[in-house]
Order: sequence, then C-alpha cells, then structure tokens
Amino acid sequence: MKPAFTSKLRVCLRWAVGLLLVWASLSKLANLHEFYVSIVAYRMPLPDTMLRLTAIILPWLELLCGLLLLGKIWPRAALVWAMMMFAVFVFATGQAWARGLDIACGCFNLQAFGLGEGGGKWLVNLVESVGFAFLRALLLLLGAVWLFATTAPTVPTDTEAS
Amino acid sequence: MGAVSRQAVAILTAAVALGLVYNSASPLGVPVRKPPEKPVGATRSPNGTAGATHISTLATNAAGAPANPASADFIPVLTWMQVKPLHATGKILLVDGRTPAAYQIEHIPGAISLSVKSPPAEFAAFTANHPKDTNIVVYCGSEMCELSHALAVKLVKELGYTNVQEMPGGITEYLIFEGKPNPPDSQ
Repeated sequence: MKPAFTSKLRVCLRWAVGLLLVWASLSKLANLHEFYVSIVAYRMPLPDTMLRLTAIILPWLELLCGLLLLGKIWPRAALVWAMMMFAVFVFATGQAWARGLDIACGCFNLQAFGLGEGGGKWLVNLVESVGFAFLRALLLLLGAVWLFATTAPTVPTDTEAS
Repeated sequence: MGAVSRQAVAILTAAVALGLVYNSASPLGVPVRKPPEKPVGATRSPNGTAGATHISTLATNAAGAPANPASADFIPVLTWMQVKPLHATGKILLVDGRTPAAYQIEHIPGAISLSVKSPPAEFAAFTANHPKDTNIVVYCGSEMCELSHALAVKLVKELGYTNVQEMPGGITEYLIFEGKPNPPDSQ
C-alpha cells in the first residue's frame, strides 16, 4: 500500500474506532442499569460484584479512549485499552453466540436516532443481535491491533531514549 | 514503566473515578454490591424509602390472588418468585414502568408498558381498559430504579386503583431467575 493511502486509512480508522467508542459509551451511560442487565444476560461465570463494577467503569473507559483517539492524545495507550475491551467483547459475544443465548448485546442505543419502531426495527434487531456484535467486535479488534502496530510511539521520555 | 503504560494506568484511574462518581449520582446507577433481599411482604412508603417490614397477606389470599394491598401510605412489595405464579395464572396485571424504549428492548413476557411519564391519553386508555380493583404489579429496572414506585403511587393516589403492588427487583430480578427477557417483537 502507498504510504499516503495508509496514512489516510489510519486516520479514518482511528476516527471510526473513536466515534464508535464514544457512541457506545454514551448509550451505556444513559442507563447504567440497563447495561448491567445486558451484562448479566451474558451469563458469564463471574462474581456479581465484578459485573457491577464492569457496568460502572467500562462506559467511562470507552468514553475516555474514544475521546483520546479522536483527539490523537495518548493514542497508543488508548489503543491498548481499546484492544483489551474489544478482546473481552469478542470473548463475551462469542461465547454467548456459541451457546445460543438469545440476548441483545447492549452495545449501542439506536433508539436515540429514532430507530426501533416501525421500519427501523429490523436494523435495531440486527445491530443488537449477538452474532452481529461478535463480528463487529472482531473487526474492531483487528482494526485496533493494526492501528496500534502502525501508530508511531509518542516522543520518548528521557529514560526511554537512553 | 514506559510512557504508554503510565498513560494507560492514568486512563484507567480516571475511568474508575469518573465511573464511581457518576454511578453514585445517577438515578439509574448500579449498586456496587448486591442489595440485600427484602423480607416477604416488606413495604415501601410513597416517598420511596424502604419501609419497616410487616408481613402482609398480599402475596396471596385464599383464592390465590393478591389481597387488597395498596393505600396512599404503603405500596406493598413482592419478589419475582411471589409474582411468577400469580402472573402465570393471570391473576395479576404486570405493568412495566420503564420508558417505552426500555420496554421495547426487553420486558417480562405478558407485561404491558405504562410509564409514570406517559401522556394522559395512555393513562386514560389504561383506566378505560382496567377496572379500579385490578390486581396490578408494577416493576421497572431494579432496586435502584424508582419509576415503578412512582407509577404505583400515581395509580393509587391519582387514579384510585386499590390493588397495586410493586416488584422492586424489577427486570433485573426476573432476569437473574429466568435468564431470558422477552424478545423485542413480542409483547
């Protein structure tokens, strides 16, 4: 690939991942309880307190990472967290999909865009389906890994330079 | 520790701090620890505080239907395990007090949607379809959600319903026991 194209692709992907993270976080922050219910529905063998803390902290981690990626501030650190989150999403949605759990992924809120009623219902069902969520998380993970691998480190500190 | 590691720790620290502060301030927040289960028949006063326990006969009367429970002072509360057999036999009307959007995403099968913020026309339709002595159980999201309690108080105080009870555990409690919410299409 030509360097110019690669550079543009990197910018587009960084914006896409950043915007998706911000959107996902705002959907969750609007109703933490609903998000907690969504997590419980995955029926993962984890302590309830851990699920609760995940519901409380994860949306803010998404929001911070999304904003940092959009602003190109600490992009590699934000991508580290993004990769970890996407890996967890891949595992969670993958095991739910494999087990045939009929659940909504709890990832995004399309109702905010007036969808979910009438003609837009199929889109909500598709986006919220666990199979679609798995494929989306997998693509995002691959994108974040590629971004991390191709994003140059920020200016090294004195200790790192030595 | 490298710069990226330090930055990652800083991001996590900020997320934890913001999350805990926001959660404590949000009316739809999540308790960090699972709330203790209320005794059977415990009540909540209309101002939303968990009331002192009193064993009521509200879960079932001789016919298996809820006895007259509600007054302006007390909204009796039930657990899902108490509600389940009554709901299964059609002895109660289960009302989802959350927003219509939340209801669309998931709800207890057989429940109808009526939010305390619903327009007057919806309340008018509700009262037209359901007599004042209907055995009603309202629920919302969880113990942290006050929408069901607010709706129960409104049904009793403003609309004159006499048999209104609340399931404070809400759809969270249902989900924990039953595991699977109603798909969005069915109602």
